[in-house]
Amino acid sequence: MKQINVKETMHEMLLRQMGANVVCFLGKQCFVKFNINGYEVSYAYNINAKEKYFLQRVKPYPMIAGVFEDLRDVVNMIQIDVEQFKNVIESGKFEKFLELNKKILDTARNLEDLFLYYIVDEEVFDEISKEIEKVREKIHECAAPEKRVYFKKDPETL
Amino acid sequence: MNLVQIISILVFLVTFIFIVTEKINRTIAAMLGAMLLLIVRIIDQGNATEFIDYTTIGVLVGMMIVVAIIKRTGLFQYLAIKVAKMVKGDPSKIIILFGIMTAVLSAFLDNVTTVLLMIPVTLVISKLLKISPIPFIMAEVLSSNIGGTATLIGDPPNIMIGSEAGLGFLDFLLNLGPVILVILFVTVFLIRFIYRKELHVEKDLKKYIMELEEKNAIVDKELLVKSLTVLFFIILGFFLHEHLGYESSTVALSGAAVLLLISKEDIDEILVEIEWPTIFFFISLFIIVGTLEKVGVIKMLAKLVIDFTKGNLVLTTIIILWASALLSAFLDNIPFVATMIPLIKGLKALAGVNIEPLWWALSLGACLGGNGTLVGASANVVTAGVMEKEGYKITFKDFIKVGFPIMIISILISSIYLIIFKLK
Repeated sequence: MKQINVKETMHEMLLRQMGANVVCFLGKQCFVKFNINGYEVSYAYNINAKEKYFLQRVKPYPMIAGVFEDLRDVVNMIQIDVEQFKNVIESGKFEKFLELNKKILDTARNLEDLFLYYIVDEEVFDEISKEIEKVREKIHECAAPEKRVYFKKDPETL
Repeated sequence: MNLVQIISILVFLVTFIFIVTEKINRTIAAMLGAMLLLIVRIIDQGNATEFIDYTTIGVLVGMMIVVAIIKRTGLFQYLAIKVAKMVKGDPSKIIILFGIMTAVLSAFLDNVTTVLLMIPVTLVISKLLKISPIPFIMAEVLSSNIGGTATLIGDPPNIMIGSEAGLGFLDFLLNLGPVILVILFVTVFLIRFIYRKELHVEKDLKKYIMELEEKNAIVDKELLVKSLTVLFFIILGFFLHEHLGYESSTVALSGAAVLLLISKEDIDEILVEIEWPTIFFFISLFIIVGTLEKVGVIKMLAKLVIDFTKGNLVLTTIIILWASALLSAFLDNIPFVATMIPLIKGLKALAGVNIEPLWWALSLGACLGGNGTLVGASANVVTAGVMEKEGYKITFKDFIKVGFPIMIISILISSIYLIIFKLK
């Protein structure tokens, strides 16, 4: 505890000297781990008294799952997510899905590095955007209502 | 010696061995010892409650609450940055001022907290200057133990001595303040001399210190004003508590309650920060030592001391000073002082001498003795642990090389002071 306090104070000081407003909550970090047919599906979220719970999926690939005001919502969210992963894993296409997902995440990192580290012509923006639109169109095309298999929750982006 | 006395001594010794060897956590060891005395019916619940010194517990809890709130304001970082900028980032001046600052803060707040609040800012500053933080940290930890000796609330042994001996805040400040001031200056200048070769930095690096903005360190200005106002009244209360007829614990706990009310901080978060293991350690020790007193063991020890010193006050004072210092350098000074208090009271009862110099000798020895080794004081142990996590190892040998000579010099100065001013 003492060591954590010292680290917190040190990091806070450095961030405040950078002009940031730092708010630290006393809370607990929870890690939730499931094993679904040999695949690890895990989550991390914090519990504090400030009525905001930040949930993140850690594995099989990292993704912010949202900020919730109620711990029940956190549990519901995890429950739905796990059910959906079970379905995908049982479909036998999970490895391919993971591979694809990894490519998308890597592409997002590549894109960030490209714009943060290099001078990029404006036409490149348009070209990349067009390519991404194509991928998105393909995804939307495939999401036909008759092919839907999960109904407990509506898709958030489709 | 009867069976009850033998069992009480055995429980005390076994507990002490566990505390010293750290085979099990010191609080658990003391709790087990205290409970054993109750289980074997040497004392009952009523006795146990009676032995607990609520003044000590009240001051500790009250000040821990106040500190838990004050440290959220960013005051320590503000002061440290201000001081570092004041001397234009010169490490040989920063080391002196950080030492003095830690000592002054430790005189009013507990040593461990003070050091824990100084370490982060010291690490940042030493990283900016690209020099080892160890010289500064050593100056701070040694000064913290020295500063804590000057007041009733600066170090737990003083809280215990003050409560049991009926000595107030002013008594400590007037009787120990002058000698502590001398010891502090000697110490910080000695440390600067010892580490002089490590305190050179390129001019360019000092500009990073000047770029730090102390105002950014203040987290909550309103809370800072409220905290400092309450702290001012608490210190004023400590100065006046004897005159007004209040216990020091009433002052500390009242201040804590008012600060909790006006700060609007979450009470759960603040109370979590109280060092409950320390509080339970004290409670259990009071029960164990209280039992020794009740069954007559302390009286027997007092008789032995009087037989040895023949009631000579100067000899007794010097023996208590040096024995306290040497023992406190290796042992936890809290159980030691808890045992010595009834012993000194017993000396008064048996020999009828003026025991006031003995209290000052006990305080100086027990508090300053902590500087002798890495395990001598909680602040040293905590600092070494935190520093190791940050990648800077302070070994027992490293500490003793600097701490022990400084402790001996401090006790020499204390001996001269006591002989000239308190034993004439």
